Amino acid sequence: MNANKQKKKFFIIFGTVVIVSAVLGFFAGFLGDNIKTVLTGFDGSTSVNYLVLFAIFIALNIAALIVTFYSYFKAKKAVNMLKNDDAYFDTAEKTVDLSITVEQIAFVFSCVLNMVATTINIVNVEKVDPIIYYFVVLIVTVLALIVGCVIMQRLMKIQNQLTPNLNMSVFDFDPMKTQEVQADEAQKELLYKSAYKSFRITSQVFMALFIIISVITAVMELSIITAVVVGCMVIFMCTVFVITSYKMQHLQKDKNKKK
Amino acid sequence: MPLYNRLKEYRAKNGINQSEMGRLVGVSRQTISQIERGDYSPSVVLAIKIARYFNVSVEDIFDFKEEE
Repeated sequence: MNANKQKKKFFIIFGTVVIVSAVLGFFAGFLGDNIKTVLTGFDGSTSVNYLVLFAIFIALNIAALIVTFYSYFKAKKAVNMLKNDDAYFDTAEKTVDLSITVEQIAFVFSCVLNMVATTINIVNVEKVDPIIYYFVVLIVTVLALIVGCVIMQRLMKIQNQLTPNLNMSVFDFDPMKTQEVQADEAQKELLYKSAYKSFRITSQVFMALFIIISVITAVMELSIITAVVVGCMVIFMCTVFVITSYKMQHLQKDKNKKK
Repeated sequence: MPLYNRLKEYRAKNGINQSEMGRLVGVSRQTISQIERGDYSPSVVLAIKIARYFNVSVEDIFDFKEEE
């Protein structure tokens, strides 16, 4: 698939997700207490100081944006300093890798923040003008997504400059697969090692999270939806891992038989 | 088992940097850097390619010490 087609596909899906989320969120905001309780576990009478929350929400979003720009400029500075020297390459690579990670964290943090803000809006829909609040949250979310995508794409370009054999893009739907195909032997080993380590840590964290949420849900009589979602994620992750391992083992045996 | 190598030494003797070395043997600069640091043990094919480029045997560049 060429770059333009990939970009077009990305924008179509991205646009659809934003519009569908907007429509669903808009109607969800006007639904009764029952839906609110099922969705969030809180009842409609939860007391929240909106002005304080709104200020915190905006401040945290701005902080995420500052971190995003800071990481980008740091990466750019590292590459601008680049000389045809091995030590400089190593330093620049480290800085760019770190910048990408920081930017990703800021990006996800901003999205989670906006989701929380939307949820609070849904829960306390009677207490403020929901349309205005909802659209403010929606606009900030879309802005955060656009800024995140643009900065990330620029960071990817910087990284492609450092590792020309890896041509990465934010418009890629399966970046890990692309990276796996393009990587050479040492890069592949690094990729597999980090992927396995990520899986191990994530599954442990999710399992712990599942237990904690289950206990909180039982003690505080909250909705079980969060515990169910986290539980499903744990089951899904472990199933994918087991099936993939089984398939790889099986394929290996078939190859040996053919030989 | 740690693999010791003299790749950096050979590279310096021939006056080529990591990027050029990578290009010559068909891998990335990162791979050469990781081999030199001892973070990655190259495949047999890559070790032979590197040795052939310097016109020496693989053992001249790569060696390992048995742990006592």
